[in-house]
Amino acid sequence: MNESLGIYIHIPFCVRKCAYCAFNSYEVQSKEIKKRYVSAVKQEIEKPGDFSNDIATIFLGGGTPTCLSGESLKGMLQICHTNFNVLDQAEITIECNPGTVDRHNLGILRETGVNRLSFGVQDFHDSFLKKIGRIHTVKIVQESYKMAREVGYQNVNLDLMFGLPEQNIHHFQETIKQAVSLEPEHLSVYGLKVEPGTPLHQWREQGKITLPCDDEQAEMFEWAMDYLKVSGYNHYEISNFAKPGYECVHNQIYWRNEGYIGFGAGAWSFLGGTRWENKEGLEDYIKCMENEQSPVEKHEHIDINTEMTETMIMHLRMRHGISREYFYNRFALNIERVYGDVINDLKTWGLLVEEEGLLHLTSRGVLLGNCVFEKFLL
Amino acid sequence: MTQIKKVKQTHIRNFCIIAHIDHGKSTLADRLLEYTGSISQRDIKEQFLDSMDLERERGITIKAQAVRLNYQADNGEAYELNLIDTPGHVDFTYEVSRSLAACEGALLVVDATQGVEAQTLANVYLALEHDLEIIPVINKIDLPSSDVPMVKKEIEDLIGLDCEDVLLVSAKEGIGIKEVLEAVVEKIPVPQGEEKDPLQALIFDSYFDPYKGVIANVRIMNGTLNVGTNIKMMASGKVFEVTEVGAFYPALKSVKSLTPGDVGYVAAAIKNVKDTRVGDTITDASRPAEASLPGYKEVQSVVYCGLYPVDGGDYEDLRDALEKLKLNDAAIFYEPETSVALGFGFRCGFLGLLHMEIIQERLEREYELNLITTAPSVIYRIVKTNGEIVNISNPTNFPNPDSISKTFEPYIKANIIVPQDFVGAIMELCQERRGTFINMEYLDEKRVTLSYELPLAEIIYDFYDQLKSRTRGYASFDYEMTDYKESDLVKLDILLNAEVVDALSFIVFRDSAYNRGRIMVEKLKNIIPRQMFEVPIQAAVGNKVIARETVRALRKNVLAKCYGGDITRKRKLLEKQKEGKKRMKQVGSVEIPQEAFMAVLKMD
Repeated sequence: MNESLGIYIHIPFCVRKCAYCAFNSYEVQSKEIKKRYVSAVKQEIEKPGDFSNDIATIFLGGGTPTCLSGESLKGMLQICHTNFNVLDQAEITIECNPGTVDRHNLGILRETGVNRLSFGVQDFHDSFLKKIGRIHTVKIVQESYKMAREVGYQNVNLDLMFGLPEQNIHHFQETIKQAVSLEPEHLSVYGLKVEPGTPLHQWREQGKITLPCDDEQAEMFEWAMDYLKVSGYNHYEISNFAKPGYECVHNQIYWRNEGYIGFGAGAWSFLGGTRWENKEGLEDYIKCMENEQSPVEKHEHIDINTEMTETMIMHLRMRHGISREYFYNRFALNIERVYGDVINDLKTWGLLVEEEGLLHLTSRGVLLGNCVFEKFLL
Repeated sequence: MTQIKKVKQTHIRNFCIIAHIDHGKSTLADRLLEYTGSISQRDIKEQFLDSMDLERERGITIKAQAVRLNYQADNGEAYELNLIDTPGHVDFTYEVSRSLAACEGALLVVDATQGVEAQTLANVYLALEHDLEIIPVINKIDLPSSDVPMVKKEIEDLIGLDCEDVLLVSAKEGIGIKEVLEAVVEKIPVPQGEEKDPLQALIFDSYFDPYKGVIANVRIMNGTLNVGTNIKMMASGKVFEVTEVGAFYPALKSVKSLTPGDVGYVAAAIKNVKDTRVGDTITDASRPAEASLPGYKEVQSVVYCGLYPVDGGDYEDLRDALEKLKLNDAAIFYEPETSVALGFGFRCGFLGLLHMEIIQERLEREYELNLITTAPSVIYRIVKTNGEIVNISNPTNFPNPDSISKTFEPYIKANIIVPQDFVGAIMELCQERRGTFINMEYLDEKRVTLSYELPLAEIIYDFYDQLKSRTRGYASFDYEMTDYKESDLVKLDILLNAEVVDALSFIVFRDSAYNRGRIMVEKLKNIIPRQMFEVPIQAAVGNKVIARETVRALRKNVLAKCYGGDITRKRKLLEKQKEGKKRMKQVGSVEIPQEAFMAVLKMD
């Protein structure tokens, strides 16, 4: 029996690029390009692959997938259903930005089987939203959210960020509280990362903005962990909180370092010990498909050491962590032999604990994730 | 091609130039070369000056340069003048003394605007010890600020040389060059020595040439040195067959033989400079001289430090590089050493601080090694309670305090010449450095020479920089080693996360320990990055903690999202993060950046 897989479809379009954004997305208005892109993706999905695994999840990510019409998105999802055995209970998520959704399109998506929405909200202050280049206001967030509920979505995520320019803990607390008051099933809380090449990076270099220091950010996140716990959210991954039973199935495939297939420009796939990436450029990707060439830019063979490293890093992102048994079953190696010393050190430093056969990060470990993960490199 | 004609011994003059730094020694040497036209002007620039430039740029003033000048004197006779250019730094006093021993006379160059300086005096005393005929030369007379009568008076009063017919020169402008050459011919004594006597040749320098093997620069005192002679090194007892003898024009040029009074070189397929120690006497193995020439000394390292590759994988490269440097510089000492903190490295000994800096710089520049240097140390002498005497150059080997009866450290006598306005500043500095005042003398109405006795350990930390900065660059300084004196010394340890970091320990005068420990922990607090846990930094003498700081634990290291497309990127970032830490040294579980080990070098 083959493991079931996740499908990721990348929609690299945005109304406007945010000041912090380093993702593969483009400000595209041209209907023609969008049309060609949708055809290209459909073609890629239809292309016979050498796997026949069941599909447990589909995730339409971006960019802003809702930059495309409901019909276009529906077309892509239908092709998935035609070509793969998408399980009945499959989780189908679409990312959307407040202000890019309307009742009509949300309705079409709902009918096509989309059962989870993920809103890029980021903050509940208009001034911050404007500063980081978001196209929406707090009011639009509330409207879009309400609309989604009315259309019938019962699993909604809100993406939030901390560490914004000039943000202090009080601002952040307001944001979290407002988000919780909407009662979404799921919350993602990310630290803003300043990527080279972004306007934000430039502003920081020029001294135009001040970001909260690591200690302040730590306080923000520590507060959020406590508050969300009390509010009934389960902190199931470093940056993710969910009401019981609403943990994101698709993302857990990544965090378990299991197989997924990506379609679209710059999409990544991981299957059978190989990870590969499609061409990132919009035109490059479309041309490949139009010329019936492979859109794959590069392959990376994941050897056993790399897989062990990645498995540890990804599993430890999840709060329940990893069991010794899982590691043994996956690699036919005792985890002690590979990581015994590392695990001991991390336990001594209070970053890792072992409970009921599960190794997992402590709260402090969560905040120092990169320090912990580095130790698992082989 | 120059015709090489052998001149008679009566027509040879061997001399050197002694001067304080920047008083114009090199420029004068250049002018003498140009004037005598031993080789064409173009060649002078390309060969002589270039190699000098290279040396100056690298700062290797260890090497004595020698050059033969052919001079047609006013009396119509042709003379062979051998100029031996000596290094001028106190670190190389022994090498200088061997160069002087190869000469009969010296030109004493004094800057007409500066007057006599500390190194002028030090060099004059050295020249007088060797009974050299000293010819005073006042240089830079073209400068508007020159004060010839004042400088004359200083030379007469301080050095006791008759300045009635002192040579007035501007090397830069080429004024008075001929007069200098005439004075060399007239005043410097004819070299003594008998051709028929057993061979005695003084080695005043040696270096490794990849084609000829070790080349020894020599002055023939007695006898003849020919190709084919079996020569014997009188100190080491080793025997070699001469493959080439020659002289400096200034490029090496082989000649048939070297005879008394000659300055030249000898090659004998010698593989190691250790076998041609500066100061040793070369004799004929088949007819050896009864005694070697006086003054030979085994080179003794004065300052020690640990040198460790930043990347442990470079250990073999460091060993090779040290081996190669030692080929040309027998004064370098090194032996393998292990540090808990730094891994495998070498304990290295040097003639002085400048020598140490030169070698470090050469290792980093010429051999592209990335090094961690531990705090320089002098050799401490410790008498244990059981009567045993141990010499210690590595703080790690400092005995347990309970087993120590007495501790001693080396002292120097420092002579500092300074305008009188700065006397207070100098006295303050010397006091801070545990100096004992010996003497103060007025050189003239404005300048003073101060003598102090100071522990050598106190001047190996930025003493010279302090001296310069507190006197706006006016002070000149020279020192000589004196003796060991009893001193209350302790080992100061630095503990990170309760573990002693051996490479950070140093030996210190007890009364200075608190202060130094305080500075050290404060510095380290700012250098050591926050880690996954709190890191206490402690300075301790024995079991007693005398200073403490804490590096607070890191609280956050990126909470970014990580999805399918990020896994490879994320892993690569972590790999980069880990790679970056390779430049840090891991002691216990604490990661220490390189700068931490340098912190101890700069204490103020």
